Parts: sequence; structure tokens; C-alpha cells
Amino acid sequence: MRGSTLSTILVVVGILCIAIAIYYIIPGFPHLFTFSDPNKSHPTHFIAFLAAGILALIGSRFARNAA
Amino acid sequence: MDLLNHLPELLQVLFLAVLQGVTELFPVSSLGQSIIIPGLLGWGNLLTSETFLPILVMLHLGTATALLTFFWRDWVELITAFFKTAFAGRLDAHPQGKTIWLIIVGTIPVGLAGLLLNGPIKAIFFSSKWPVIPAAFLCLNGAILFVGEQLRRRSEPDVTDRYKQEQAFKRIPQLSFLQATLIGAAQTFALIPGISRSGIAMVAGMGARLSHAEAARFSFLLATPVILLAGLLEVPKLFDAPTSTLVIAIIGAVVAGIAAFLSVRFLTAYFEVGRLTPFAIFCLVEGLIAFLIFAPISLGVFSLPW
Repeated sequence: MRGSTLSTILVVVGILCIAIAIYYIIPGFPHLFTFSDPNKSHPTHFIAFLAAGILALIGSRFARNAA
Repeated sequence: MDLLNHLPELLQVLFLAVLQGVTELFPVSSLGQSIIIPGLLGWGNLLTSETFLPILVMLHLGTATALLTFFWRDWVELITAFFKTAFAGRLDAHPQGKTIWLIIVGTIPVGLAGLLLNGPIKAIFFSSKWPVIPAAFLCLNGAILFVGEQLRRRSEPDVTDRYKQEQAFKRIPQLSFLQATLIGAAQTFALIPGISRSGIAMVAGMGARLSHAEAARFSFLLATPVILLAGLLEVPKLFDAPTSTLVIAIIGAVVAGIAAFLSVRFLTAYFEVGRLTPFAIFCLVEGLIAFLIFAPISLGVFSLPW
């Protein structure tokens, strides 16, 4: 896979992860894959997906620089 | 607080601390052992006991601290490498640049799977009164270690010197990111009690042609953030615990940490030339014995006399 393609994929993954993180922090509607009250906000899920998103965006820089 | 009043609980925790500290790093499934051995001793399933939750959290933190202490030089280098590479946007900005990103990539699958699947897996595997399922999976763990080791033997160069045989295989920085992801993904199977995280990560690492020592080291480096974060996320459960439980939990954490430190020191030396076969045999034998004991108990044919 070319570096620029990988970089684009990682940017998309990063944005998706950050969107999922925001979904988990907003209370008041059902959250999937949660095991306490699904309508509450879920800070653990938020932190995990936010971290994954940030790491994917950093990874996209590596891929772009390597291209 | 008079510890003598809590002596039976303290002794139980000390036993569990040694068990946790040792089995977390040996490829024999700490989760499986923490269910099977207390089950054999007639203590019931301590992992689902509300009283034991704060203690288990502290035992995990003790183990993670031991891993951090043992590999502290590596972690200082790796954290420095993380920031240098992240700011430069290049993996070659630090000699350990690729290694830290291999660890991060390997941690993501097990981290997300743990977060999303731990609840349903606990509901499935912790619901039965007797640990028949962990015993069966411990046998499977033994089989995985055994097959992994047999496949490795076939790819070893035809020399008698074990050091030379091991030198023919890769070091961690030679892994690809896809291989690190697959090793990390393999670790998700260790959410099932009876499957060893370090064992399955080692077999996957050896499948990626790492040497035994490097596969073990990569497994320990992958374990550190996972165990530490899992422990830290459970810390709020300590807030409601009574002082006596907290004191016992801290003693347990220190003992688990010492046991884990000695275990990782032994294992890093052992895997310079050692193989997974003894652990495979141990898991197969223990899993089979536990299954033969617990299966009739679960069917109500007989009960433990103690």
C-alpha cells in the first residue's frame, strides 16, 4: 500500500474514532457495547476511542512522511 | 486495625497475591488459575466476590508496578521515543521509535476488545458455579503452546547450539506493523479464562519469527500498559472499601509485585534458550485434572469434601 493511501486511511480512522469517542461521552441516548446504564456517558470508552483517534492521526503523519 | 482479626482473609490474599504475581507472566493463564485453584481449595469464585474486587485491583497494580520496575530503562527510552517520533512525524527520529509504535499498535486490539467485550465474556464464563469452562480452555491453552513450539522446531536451523538456533530469528524492531497488530489481536483470546495472554502473544510472536526471548519480551512490554490501565480503571472500586480491606489489599499488592518481579526475571533468563513445552504440559495436565474434578461436580454427581 502506498504511503499516501495509508495516510488517508489513517486520517479517516482517526476522525471515526474521535466521532465514536464523542458519541460515548454524550449522555441521554443508548450507547452500544456498554454494560452499566447505556444512557449515561461512558468516560472510559471516550478516553479509549479518543486515544485511538489521536494515535491514528499521528500514524497518518508517519505514513505521509514515509511516502 | 488488628491484622490478627483478619488473619484467615490475609492468608487467603497472600496466597492469591503469589498466584497472581507468578501466573500473570508465566504462560499458564492467571485468570484461569485464579478461578481453578480457589475452586479446588473450596473458596468458591473469588473473582466475582464483591469483597475481593478491591483486593484484585491492587494485585493487578502490584504486578504492573513490578513490570514497570523491571523494564524501567526500556520504558524511559520508549516514552522518550514516543514524544520524539510523534513531534517529528518520523519513526527514525529515535532508535526505539519503531518499537514504541509496534507496542502501541499491538495494544490497540486488546485494549478495545477488553473495553467492548469484557462484560459479555464475564457474563458467559463467570456464570457457572464450578470452573469447568476455564479448565477446558486451560487444556486448549496447553495445546496452543505445544503446537506453537512444535511449529517453531521445524523452522529452526539444524545446529545443536540453542543460542545459535535462537539467533536465526528476528528481534522486535524487525516486526512489521501488520505482525504487531496480529500479535495484539491474538491477545484478545486471553479475555477467556484459561487462555494465557503471555502464552498466546508468545506463540503469535514466534509465528512472526521472533526468537523465544524477544517474543517473551514483546509480550511483557505489551502486557504492561494493558495490566496498568485495567488496574487504574478499577481504582474507583477502592474508594468504598473498608480500611481493613485496603490494608490487606496493599500487603497483597506488594507480595504480588515481588512475585511478578521474580517471575519476569526468571522468564527473561529462561527464554534465552528455554522452550514453551514445560508450560504446555503443565496446562494440559492441570486443565485435564481440573476438568475431571469439576465436570462431575457441575453435574451434581459429587461435591468436594472440604
